[in-house]
Amino acid sequence: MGRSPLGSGPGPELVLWPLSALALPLLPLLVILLSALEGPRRLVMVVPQGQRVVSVPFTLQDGWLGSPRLALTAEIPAESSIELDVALLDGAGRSVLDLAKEGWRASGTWAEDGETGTWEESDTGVTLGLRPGRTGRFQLAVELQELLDGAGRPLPMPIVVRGSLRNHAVDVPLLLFTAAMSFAAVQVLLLATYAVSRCRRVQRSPEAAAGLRLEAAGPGLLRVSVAARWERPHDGPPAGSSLRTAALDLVVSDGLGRPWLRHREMVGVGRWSNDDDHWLSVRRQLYLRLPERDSWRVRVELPEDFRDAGEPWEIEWLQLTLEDGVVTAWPVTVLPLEGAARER
Amino acid sequence: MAKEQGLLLLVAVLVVGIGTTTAVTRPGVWRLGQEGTPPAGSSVRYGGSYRAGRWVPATPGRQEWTGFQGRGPGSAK
Repeated sequence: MGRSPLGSGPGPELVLWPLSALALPLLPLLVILLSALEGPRRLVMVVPQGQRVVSVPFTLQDGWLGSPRLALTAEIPAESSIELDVALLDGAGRSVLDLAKEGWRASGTWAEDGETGTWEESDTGVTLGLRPGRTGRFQLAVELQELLDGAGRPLPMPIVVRGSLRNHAVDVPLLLFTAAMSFAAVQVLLLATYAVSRCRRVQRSPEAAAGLRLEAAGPGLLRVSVAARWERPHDGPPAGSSLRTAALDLVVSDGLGRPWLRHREMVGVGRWSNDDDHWLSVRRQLYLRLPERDSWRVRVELPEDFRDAGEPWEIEWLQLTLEDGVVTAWPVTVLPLEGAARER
Repeated sequence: MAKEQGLLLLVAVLVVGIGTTTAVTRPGVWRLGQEGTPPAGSSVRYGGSYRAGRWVPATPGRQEWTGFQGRGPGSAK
């Protein structure tokens, strides 16, 4: 058996451009990141009972880069409810929007299956997403109409209303959805590029050798995938292993039975255990560039059995898969057939 | 580039382009003076709404159903 020649470098089968599409789903995520850089403008108002409190003036910007988003939260004691009047005033002090919010805050304990804990729920917030129509100064006017405890008695205390204003808020759920949908589209593109072949043949053999014939050649490579598994003839945990590699023989011949390549290499043997199941396995992919259209035959062979630390391992199955016309996203070593043919 | 790969790339680019542009420009956001009122979360009651560019306060009582007695004999109410 002749020494196999070194593989040739990357050819037209190395297709990289679909990988750049992976940057597409990052774009909406980048927009979320950039929008988070805009620090919110904070507003704090202490609102006593029965008084109308006006906030400091702030700017609401109109434009196409996001839209203003104004969030208000009333801080109220536990087990209480609130009715708050909120008005948005324009630069001249005229009310351009007024609303009333009925909020509450409740808490309690829960016990289930011997475990206990506390819960707290509240609804004391107002979130306004709106465009002002024209960039300008605005103010908020807040009035506490009612603050009641759990029994419905009025609580004579001021409350704090905190506001947070962003002028360029973006639609985050839509951006996340966009990222997910474009990622799915890119996945399909990658599958359509790297996971397709003109012709695919699979043979699973109970012996340590398998051979397949297929009509092949054309653009792309022929991918030869070998997977094999060995098991022991009897149960029980195996002794320590010194086994690391096994010899894989590959023979490629044309329609007339003339061998174009005899290749032998040592492949790594994996050792696996699952409960009382122990096995050895081999997985290897080799690439060939077929020079002409023909009925090619590919045969692979691995050792039928091993003796490892005095213990026998026997072949359980070997699976040979041939895929014609594949391209790859990373450089692979291609075993050249012409060189082997000339050597003979 | 095969035809279907070009089509898939076009789909991915369109999804990103349309989704990101819509999420940034937000054409659906309520504009001050537009008909109605903006969404503001739960348990919020507006004191009016915009009609033809003007803020029209809601008249209390007209929206309340407590004053509605309906028709028919008193024993039916």
